Amino acid sequence: MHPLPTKCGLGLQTASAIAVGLLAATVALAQEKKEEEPFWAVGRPKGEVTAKMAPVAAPPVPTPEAQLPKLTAPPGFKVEVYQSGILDARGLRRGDKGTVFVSSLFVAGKIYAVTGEPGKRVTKTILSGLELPNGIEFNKGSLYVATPKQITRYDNIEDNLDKPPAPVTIYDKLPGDVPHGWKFIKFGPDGKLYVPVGAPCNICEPDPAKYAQIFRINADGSNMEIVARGVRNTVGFDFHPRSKELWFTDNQRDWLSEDMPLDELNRVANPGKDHFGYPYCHSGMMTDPEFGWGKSCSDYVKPAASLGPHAAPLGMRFYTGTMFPTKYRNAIFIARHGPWNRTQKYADVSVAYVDDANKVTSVEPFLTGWVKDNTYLGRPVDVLVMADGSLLVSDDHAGAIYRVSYGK
Amino acid sequence: MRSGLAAAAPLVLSIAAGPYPSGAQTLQDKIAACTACHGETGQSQDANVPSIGGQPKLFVMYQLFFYREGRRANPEMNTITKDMSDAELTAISEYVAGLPAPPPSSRAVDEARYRRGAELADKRICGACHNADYSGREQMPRLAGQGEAYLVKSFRAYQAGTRIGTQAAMAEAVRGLSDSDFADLAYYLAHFRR
Repeated sequence: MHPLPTKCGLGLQTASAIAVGLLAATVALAQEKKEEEPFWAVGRPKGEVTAKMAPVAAPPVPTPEAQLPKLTAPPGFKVEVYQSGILDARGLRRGDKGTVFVSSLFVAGKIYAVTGEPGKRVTKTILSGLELPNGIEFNKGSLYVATPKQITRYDNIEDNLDKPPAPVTIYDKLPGDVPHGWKFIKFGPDGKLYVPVGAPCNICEPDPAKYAQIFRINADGSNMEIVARGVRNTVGFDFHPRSKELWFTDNQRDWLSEDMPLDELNRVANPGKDHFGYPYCHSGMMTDPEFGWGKSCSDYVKPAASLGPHAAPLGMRFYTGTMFPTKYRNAIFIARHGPWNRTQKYADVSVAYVDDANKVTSVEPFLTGWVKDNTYLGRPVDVLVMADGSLLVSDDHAGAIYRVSYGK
Repeated sequence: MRSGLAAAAPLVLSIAAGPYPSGAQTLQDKIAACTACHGETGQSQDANVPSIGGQPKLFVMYQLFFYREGRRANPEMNTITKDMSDAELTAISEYVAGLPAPPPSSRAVDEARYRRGAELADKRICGACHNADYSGREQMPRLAGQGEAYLVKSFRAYQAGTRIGTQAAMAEAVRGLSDSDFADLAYYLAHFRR
């Protein structure tokens, strides 16, 4: 565990008071800066190239099916469009009765349900007017929806897609910040719901009791406990099918350079104790130019794997199906949404192979073809292993879901 | 302006030939509804109606989308976009982006005001997103040559939070500015010269 920043000779209380004072000063400074710049632009180096860089806005209409990117997977795999015309398709979850639930973020603010057999598939908007409803989960017949402010539950959802019941609020103590406030939520093998709270900024030193963490709660929202600290912004995690350990992707800070820092794949070996470095150490290898002075990367948990500069790794799943060749069993599929904070764009679904000692032996591109002439044709967000072992991939830029299958 | 119209005309024909389910006539009608208020070539004569010529396609797409979804409030625009299909929205945006950009306001320039506006624009780094010449790009609109009254109206809407945009960037950009700041900034952008 990363210790509180205690100074020599100072009691814990005094040190805390100093830490709080420093934090207040940092927040005040951040607010002063905020008046002139959007949060993502804070820390931007001067220059013509960086001046033109901003988060990439997707078109507000889905790409017609015929114009969707032609994606490529390794030999033996088949890639097809599962469903097109889903504006801002983000998170993917599977219901017990075969419904695929799809979340969205700013552009749509909706939750969709995709049902039906191939050729007769339909997309229903089941909820709309939600604020950044990126986080969804399905558990015991209920759909959970997480916004930056709260987590709600819609019971018996698959029997009520045309008229979802009134939501039950299970947790409303989230800080609600827009920057990195959108969620990815998932139930763990322990029956608890895991919830991240990102840093409310690009780079700052936020209150560690509230931000830059992953916590877990009981299904009714009770008994909140922090599982991982020093997490800047995770928008994807899963639990190892055998060890049951939590693994997560983490988006590192912007504006350091074209090629640093490297986004992370992390493993939580010591729940409640592990600190993953933010905002002091990035990628397990470099201290922050502003907040890293007096800190050492050796005090923080190193990433299990590096996922590329500004790669924006989002959804990830261990492959638990049997359709794909055996080498993919328990490997991790990771959607790399692709950078905005970098001149050269790239995006793919990568696969990370994990050995029995929990070491990542390699990370390779799996599903490619998202970028043409340095422009995004599509951007993968989440991956979902289906009952038959095929893999669904959502694309918020083109508004579509693709299906990757093997054999036959 | 004449040449702009002539250049825009073939685009209408090519749109008419395209595969738009609601029919070429409907699309032509919808384009006519745009130009009726925003000007034949996208240069508005009404102080409260923006010039739309030369706006980036993605910006126009987003505004039509926001109006259609009821996320930007304006009774006329909400009605016009109500039944607009995605294909129509895309085609209209392409047409509007192809119209000529408004020329800088020709009235004599009050240098002191212009300079005050320029300083504010520099301080708020407007040019970082809207380009150094305020021509706009992607989802960020062209500001150069836009009507002063309309610009002030937009600043106020962003400040009040009644207009949001694709990011909260504009709320932050105009935070703390006064009405006289808005007037100076709008004056500068409306009269912007290279």
